[in-house]
Amino acid sequence: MSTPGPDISILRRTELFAALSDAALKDVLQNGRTRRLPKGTAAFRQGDPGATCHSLIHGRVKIAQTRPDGGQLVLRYIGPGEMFGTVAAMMGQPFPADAVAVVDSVEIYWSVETMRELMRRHPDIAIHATSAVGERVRDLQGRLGEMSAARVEQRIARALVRLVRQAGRRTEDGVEIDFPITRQELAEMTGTTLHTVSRTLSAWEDEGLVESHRRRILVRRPHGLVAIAEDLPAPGKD
Amino acid sequence: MTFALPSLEPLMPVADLLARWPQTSAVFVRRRMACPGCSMAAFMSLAEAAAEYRIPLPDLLADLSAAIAEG
Repeated sequence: MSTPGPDISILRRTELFAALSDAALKDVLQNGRTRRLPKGTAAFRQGDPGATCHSLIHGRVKIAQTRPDGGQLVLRYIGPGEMFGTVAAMMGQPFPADAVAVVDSVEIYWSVETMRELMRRHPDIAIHATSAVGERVRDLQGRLGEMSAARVEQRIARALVRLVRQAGRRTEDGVEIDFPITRQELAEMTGTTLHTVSRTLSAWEDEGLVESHRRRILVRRPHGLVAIAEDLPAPGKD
Repeated sequence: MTFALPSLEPLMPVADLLARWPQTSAVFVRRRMACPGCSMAAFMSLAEAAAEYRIPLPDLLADLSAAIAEG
């Protein structure tokens, strides 16, 4: 015999199903599958057919794309109550990214066909989904702005400043980041490419701002780096 | 009872100064210096900070001493 399953309260604070009637929530719940996602498991993988719609009940899921060069770009972290995979599924597209649990998580999911049926029966679900998608677009617009070329140097400078804060060591010539870090790792930290990091660091080396030997980065002009990271005005300007 | 204030060492790291006499933050802010809270404050001396911001060192030290004296 089946064990008592989850009850409708798990759906109350979700993006998709907020403010639905109890009867509607029951319908949604009965037609979905709840599943544990132990830390490190994937709800779906990049390139899988977008056949399912997901809603996170508990935990946290990382949505990350693998780039052509093998690196990862984190698109978003999904928290409890948020939907994921839904857009790809609605558009009949493959999932554009992996969805991997970063802590032990629990999700509920439906086939696309089932979700469409649920939306026809309870149109508010579609309205909520539209709203949630709008949020995501706004989010991505913000990040797109951040990621434009003019700001790449700032992101790299900020990453280096963070590393100094964590592991900086004063030497005769400046401040050294006291553990090895590759240009590749810097690229993954900043959502840029190895090429861009190399180009930026080379330019900064030419300017005498930083120096790198065997994966150790030395900041020769600490203030100069901070000026880039924080977009400080030129001195003497009031 | 009076205290003899230690004279300010130009080579003192900015972070040490800020930790010892938090009221000196106001001087940096007034002079539009980003030092309070800066990750590099631990690694730069007062002299270096003054140089970067093109502020005459004696002027900066005078302001800082005054802030310290006011308590």
